[in-house]
Amino acid sequence: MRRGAALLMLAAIAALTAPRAHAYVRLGATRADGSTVAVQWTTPIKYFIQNVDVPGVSASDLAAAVDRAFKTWAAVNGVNFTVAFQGLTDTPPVTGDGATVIGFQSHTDLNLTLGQTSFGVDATTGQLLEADIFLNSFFNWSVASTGQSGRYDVQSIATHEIGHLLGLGHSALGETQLTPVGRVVIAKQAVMFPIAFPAGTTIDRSLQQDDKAGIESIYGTPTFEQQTGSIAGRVTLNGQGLFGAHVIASSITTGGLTGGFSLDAQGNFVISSLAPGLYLVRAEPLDDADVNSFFSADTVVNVNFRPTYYSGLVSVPKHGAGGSFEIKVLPK
Amino acid sequence: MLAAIAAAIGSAAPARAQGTPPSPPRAQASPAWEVTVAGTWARGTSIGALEGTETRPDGSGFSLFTAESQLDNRTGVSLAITRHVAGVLSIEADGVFGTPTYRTSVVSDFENAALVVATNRAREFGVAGAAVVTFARHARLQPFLRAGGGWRRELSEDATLSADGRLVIAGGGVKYWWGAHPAASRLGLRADVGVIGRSGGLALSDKIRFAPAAAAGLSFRF
Repeated sequence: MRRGAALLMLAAIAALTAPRAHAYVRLGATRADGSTVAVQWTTPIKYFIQNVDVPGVSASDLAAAVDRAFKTWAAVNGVNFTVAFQGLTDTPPVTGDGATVIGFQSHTDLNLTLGQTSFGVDATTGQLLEADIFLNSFFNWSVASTGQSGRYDVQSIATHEIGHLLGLGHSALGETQLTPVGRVVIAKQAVMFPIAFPAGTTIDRSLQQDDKAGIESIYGTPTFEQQTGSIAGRVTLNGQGLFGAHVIASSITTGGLTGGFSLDAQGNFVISSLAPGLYLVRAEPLDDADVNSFFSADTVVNVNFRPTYYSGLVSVPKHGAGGSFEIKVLPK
Repeated sequence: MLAAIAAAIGSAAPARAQGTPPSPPRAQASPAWEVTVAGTWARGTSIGALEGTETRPDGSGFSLFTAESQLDNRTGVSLAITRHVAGVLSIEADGVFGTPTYRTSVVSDFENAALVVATNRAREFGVAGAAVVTFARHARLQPFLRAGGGWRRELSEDATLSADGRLVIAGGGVKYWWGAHPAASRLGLRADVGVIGRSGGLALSDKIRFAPAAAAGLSFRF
């Protein structure tokens, strides 16, 4: 079941020339001149909860679940942002009114979409002016502490959508299989993976390492940036740069998976917010979810290659990047 | 009585100056300082399994890939300066240099990626202090025991990452001195065996891991 794309996610940001490596796919807006700017809030982020109940979840239940979801993101080590709940409102979660509203809406036309986040952006500066999240009341919802069979957990889906609200795109850390009713998750290791776990689970209340790396790349404090580093390289196929490959880094000391993408025609990628150490690096095709879950609809991505490990253990220093390297993938 | 005295004088050996008897040979003091240059070897150590784990809908783990990491057997060189203190006791300062290789072998992959052995050939620099107890200090063949500890630094292959750690050394060996008078000999051979403990560095935890170690080289005394 798709969670739904974040509207106004017009481009994936490849800020490879920025002083700080932002490698996690961030939401961005396209300016009138065609250039792209990463979106970011000026905190505190002020939001309302729509004063609408749905079966099993009252407006106050939703407010409490959203509060917990925001706090989950804010508690990530090394990030600094604040939010401010403004109260209940009758205003629906639609873009253009200048208010950030989170609420339920019925979208029977989106019967595979659990939730969706839309934005109002100052396209000149990239500053987010408002964001609205709806949870689709076409589905059944629950705020039970241990989840409820047949019902989607509000806090889990809210955590994902709030990740979009904060500026994150989707993670590709997951494995799926194609079934007659669509893609089904075999396993995943990021709340920001575009396809949700089945109804009844509460696993996505907790952030994974990849989610944390993403939010740290946007809201990380200077102290945090001094203590962490990144890896940078490129993915090539038959000697040519490969756009849209998914790259995973795993520390040989602590384990854990952190992902990134090759975001230009030369196949360049950066994975940031990594603890110093040695890493095993793996490149794979983006074939476990629709490509437009990660990039704009008209983006062409080659998925016809084999997953490949880099032959060296890559160094991640403090406050910097290890030496650049090339992962040469092979066609399927 | 006079005749007795005259007989005593007459029969006495004539007085003459006697030379200073030769002194008995003195034991030659062994030089107080030694410098040893040696080649070193230490057995590698396992770092542990690396699991690329994802979570299934039921909360159980799913293995995207599995790998085993280790630190290979390492060789290097060392320089030791030893100073005799008193009796059987000496103190020693050691400098070590080596090129340890970290190795991660991918043993399984859910999507059948080609299995790979990924490496990083690091450089290690270390200094340590030790106490040395030498037996038969004036003999040609001198067994000894040694124990100490120190600090080390590892540098990654691309020299972008450095990390510090600890060294612990314990063992013993034997020295063999050439020359006619071993106690005063200047040149000898030295062989060490024992264990060396390492922690920290690029990929080891704070827990010290011990491994067998050996060294052999030339010693110079002065």
